[in-house]
Amino acid sequence: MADQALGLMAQNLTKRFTGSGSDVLALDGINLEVPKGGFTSVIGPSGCGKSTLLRILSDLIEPTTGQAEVNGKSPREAREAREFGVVFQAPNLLPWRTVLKNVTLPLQVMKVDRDDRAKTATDMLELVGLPGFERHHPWQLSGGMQQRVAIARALSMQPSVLFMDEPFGALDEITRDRLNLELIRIWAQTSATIMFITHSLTEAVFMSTQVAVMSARPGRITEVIDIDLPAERTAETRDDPRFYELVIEVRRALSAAAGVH
Amino acid sequence: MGRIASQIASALFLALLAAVLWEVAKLVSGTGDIKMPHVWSILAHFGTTTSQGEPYSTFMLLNVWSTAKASLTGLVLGVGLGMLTGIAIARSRLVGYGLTPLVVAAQAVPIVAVAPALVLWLGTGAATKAAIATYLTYFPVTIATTRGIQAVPAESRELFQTIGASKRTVLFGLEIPFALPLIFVGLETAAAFSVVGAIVAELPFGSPDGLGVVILTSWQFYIFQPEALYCVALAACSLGAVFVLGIRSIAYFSLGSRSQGEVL
Repeated sequence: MADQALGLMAQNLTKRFTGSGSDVLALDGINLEVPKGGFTSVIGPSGCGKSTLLRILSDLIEPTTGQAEVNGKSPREAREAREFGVVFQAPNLLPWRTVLKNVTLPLQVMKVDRDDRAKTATDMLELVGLPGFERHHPWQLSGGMQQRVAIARALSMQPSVLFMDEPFGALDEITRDRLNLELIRIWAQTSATIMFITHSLTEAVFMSTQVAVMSARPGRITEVIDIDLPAERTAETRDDPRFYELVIEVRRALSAAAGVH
Repeated sequence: MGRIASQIASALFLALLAAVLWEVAKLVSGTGDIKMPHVWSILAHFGTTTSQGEPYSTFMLLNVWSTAKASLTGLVLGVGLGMLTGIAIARSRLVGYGLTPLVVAAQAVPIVAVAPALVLWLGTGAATKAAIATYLTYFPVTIATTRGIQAVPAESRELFQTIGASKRTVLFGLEIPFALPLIFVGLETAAAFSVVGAIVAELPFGSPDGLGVVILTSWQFYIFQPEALYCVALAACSLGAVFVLGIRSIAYFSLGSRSQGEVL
């Protein structure tokens, strides 16, 4: 069952939320495979269950039926082995800790030696383009910088999988474009498997190796589009005619998904 | 630190303003020296000697100290118990359902009604005073702690979950630091209440010393020496102010940079 080459795997996943008088089928028969080192974006309208999918894979909630695997393990085993990091939509930094101490939080939980964790955190801050900000407090940083700290924190455990739930959704487009480039660079340097939830077509196409398109109510993956852009993405990739073709293809798939119902 | 200094300065200014208003009210209403002694004769009374030959200021300080000890004991106990209860209520739904009605019901009990029974069990000494001070400080701290911990954002909890933090790490690394600004709001209220609680315990039950006792005796001898009643009122106010300012200073230093930036 466990394919060694897969970073992420979902098989017939369903998730049903039952509350008082409500019964919502959030996910219906989700099948998805992300190869190790792949960058998969999941795109779809609000409420289509894309965050639910990420939350199942990152062991924040359990599926109703079906199977999820991270590096060939159950999400729980993978979490306990600290094989993945999560970046949330909000930077979610602790205001009483300095930038450095926010980044070292996971290492502190892992009981890593103090000097080692400071060194790792400094390296990670450099990786996300924030060298020298160790002693700042979160409130002294802009939204984009705070999200970089959150990425550094997720990377500090040196995870092989990174879950990102609309991490740049709250940022302005200029900052978002820049962080897209930064994330591509970080991905190349860490060779992590990335699952990236987004609302943005261009963002999804620009960074990913594949884009999964979802429809809402019930949440289904209607199409998986391979992004056959050159492996090395730069600012110029956005001018590539193929980039436009793919954006149009994903947009068509999204409209088709919306038109099904 | 500048902020605390300016708070003390504004408190002194308000005291001065109150003194001026007192004199103006006395002048305008034509109230006699028995009902409203002059501010300066009240202050001068601190320089007199008691019938035991003791300086009045020393006598007052000893009684303030007796009340302060009981208040502080009650405050420390109340804060400790209150935080523990608050944490228990916030962390366990079951404990919350069980304890919250009890906490609210107990808060509605008029303390003066329970005090005589406490005197029977614990005597008229420091224990009763501390017990009532504990009782009064317990609620604001319990509620502030509960509310503070319940306000921790779900995303922060999920972050701690994804990094595999233990319950203990969540408590000390997330819940308490997050709730701290709110806990300090409860602590400020509690600090003032602790002084009130100790004085209430001293009032009608034959306590040997303390501000409550001085209030009672000053009241009895009011007709001969009206200044004494206002001296003890001033002393009680000052004690309350010292407690509240003390908590504020602790908050200022322990919240550190958070008192300068966006907190919640």
